[in-house]
Amino acid sequence: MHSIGFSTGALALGDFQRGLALQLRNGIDAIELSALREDELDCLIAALPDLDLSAFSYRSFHAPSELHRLTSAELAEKLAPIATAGFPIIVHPNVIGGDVAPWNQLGASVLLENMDTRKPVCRTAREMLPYFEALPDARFCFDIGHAHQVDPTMTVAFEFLHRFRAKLAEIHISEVNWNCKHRPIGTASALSFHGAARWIPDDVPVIIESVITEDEIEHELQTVHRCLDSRRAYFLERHSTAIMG
Amino acid sequence: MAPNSDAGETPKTAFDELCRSLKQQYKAIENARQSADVQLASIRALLAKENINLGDTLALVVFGSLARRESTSRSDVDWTLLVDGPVDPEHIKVATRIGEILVAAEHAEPGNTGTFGTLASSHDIVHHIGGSDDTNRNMTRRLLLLLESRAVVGELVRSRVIRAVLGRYIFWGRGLPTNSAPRLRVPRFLLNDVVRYWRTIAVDYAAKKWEQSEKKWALRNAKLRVSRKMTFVKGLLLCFDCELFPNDSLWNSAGTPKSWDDAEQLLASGCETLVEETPIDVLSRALVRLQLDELAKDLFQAYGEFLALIDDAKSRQALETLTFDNAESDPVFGIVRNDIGRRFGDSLEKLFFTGDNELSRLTKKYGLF
Repeated sequence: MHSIGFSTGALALGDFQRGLALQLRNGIDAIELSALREDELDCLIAALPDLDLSAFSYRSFHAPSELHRLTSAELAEKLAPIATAGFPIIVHPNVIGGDVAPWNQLGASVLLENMDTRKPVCRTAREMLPYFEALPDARFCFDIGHAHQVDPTMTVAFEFLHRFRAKLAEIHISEVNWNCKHRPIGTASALSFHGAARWIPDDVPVIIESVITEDEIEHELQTVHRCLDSRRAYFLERHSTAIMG
Repeated sequence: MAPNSDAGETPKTAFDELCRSLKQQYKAIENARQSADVQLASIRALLAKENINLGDTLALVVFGSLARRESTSRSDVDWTLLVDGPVDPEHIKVATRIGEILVAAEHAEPGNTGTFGTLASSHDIVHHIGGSDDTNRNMTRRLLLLLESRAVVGELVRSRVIRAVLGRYIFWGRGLPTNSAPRLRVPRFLLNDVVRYWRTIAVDYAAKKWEQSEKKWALRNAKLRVSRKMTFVKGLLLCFDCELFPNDSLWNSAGTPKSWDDAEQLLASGCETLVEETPIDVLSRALVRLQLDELAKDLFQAYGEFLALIDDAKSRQALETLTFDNAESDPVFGIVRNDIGRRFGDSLEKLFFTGDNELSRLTKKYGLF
């Protein structure tokens, strides 16, 4: 069984306290603390020691996705205590500059994430390969929504999950639309995700990145469970219900 | 780290590997490949200078000799603005502007509209495979996308559509289930469309000769004997490769498929890799692996001579203006028909029917019935 939870950013943008509180419920045992913007970083790092994360068997940290104020090396330096505290750190490869040494020091704590079409790098396994060559200890955060946006047939997903299977450490899931926004998972995307679920080992934690309201949490959780259950046909349950009803 | 871009370096190719193995050089082919890369870079620079930005849902795709990396000094650019995303009425203005830029720079002829020189929607290309909505133009666009296309700008969009097309052929064109262990099988739906396309080109040659009063018929005839045949060869080998070379890293790097679904996914992934190769490279790949050195020399000697001939102003002019009635006595057409075309065609027959037992088996099993 996958550990499943949400990114705090998806539920509450920069308000990580609220993003955490919304996940204290049955069926959620993973969490990703999100500092997607630079100005959210210091606040989250400072609060980290006092956050009660005991409800979550898996916890990760999402580093800023764009740098405007910090340099790449400065960001890596800020993230070092988080790595020491044992958090896997999700990193968008575009923030890694020419000097990879500061990032190599973070070792296996770095989880490089595949990108959507908006970014000029790491949209396919072939584009990602040089990054893993430069950061040999880094692991892989597979964003299935990004891969689906790049290629709805999921051939790109297949290539990611086979080429970097040994490095796979976390899954991001959501629908990613044409404007690269993370949305609730629609049926067409869900069917594609379901088709790819058989390539994802059960022990890899899953973080939902669909930007939703509190009322939509349960439904999105159910959708993700259906997406990831490769042993059952995606429509089987609904079809049976319709017949029974 | 340096991001990837549309204008990446050309990697070492199967043709380079073949030439090294044969200890041969084919100057006309090498020149044509260099010329194509220069022309492509020149078009990219033109568009950048004109500040043409295609975003995430458009790709400027070129076909024909430029995409095959076989440009000669007289090659036109056949292009399409491929749309894969939300509809926008402004797209037509972008396409029109691109056409103006290419005509002004003498890369394309004015008024070149129809199959090329205009917009094409991925929806038609992906969803209308076969059936009454799959027009000649739609089929041509789809097959050329697989067999000879390159993105000037928007490689991600082009490759997304290619994967969708391959998905249609492979995932939604699957064969009947069998009790045997999952394995890679020749994609019959794709193969049938490749064969259909080749036969359509041949039939359309006759149609154009009828409709256009023999205008350029001899040049089309020459291309049919050699370069268009080469494109068809790519299509055949693309479909046969998984059974012809099952132990190649292209097919077995993900291990033995555990299910038919996995086998199809592996097939789609491998086919995508081969789609990205030029016809010359796909043929070279097969010849290297089959170790058919003498046949390879014959094939590329003839092919190089053909490229040199159509790059020669006088010869090309002769082919462009030749009438059907004078064909028998024309020396240039005689070379194409009785020498280059015959040697190339005979060598291909040897390759597919007698050169290798497995390829011969595949050709007989899938090629006709």
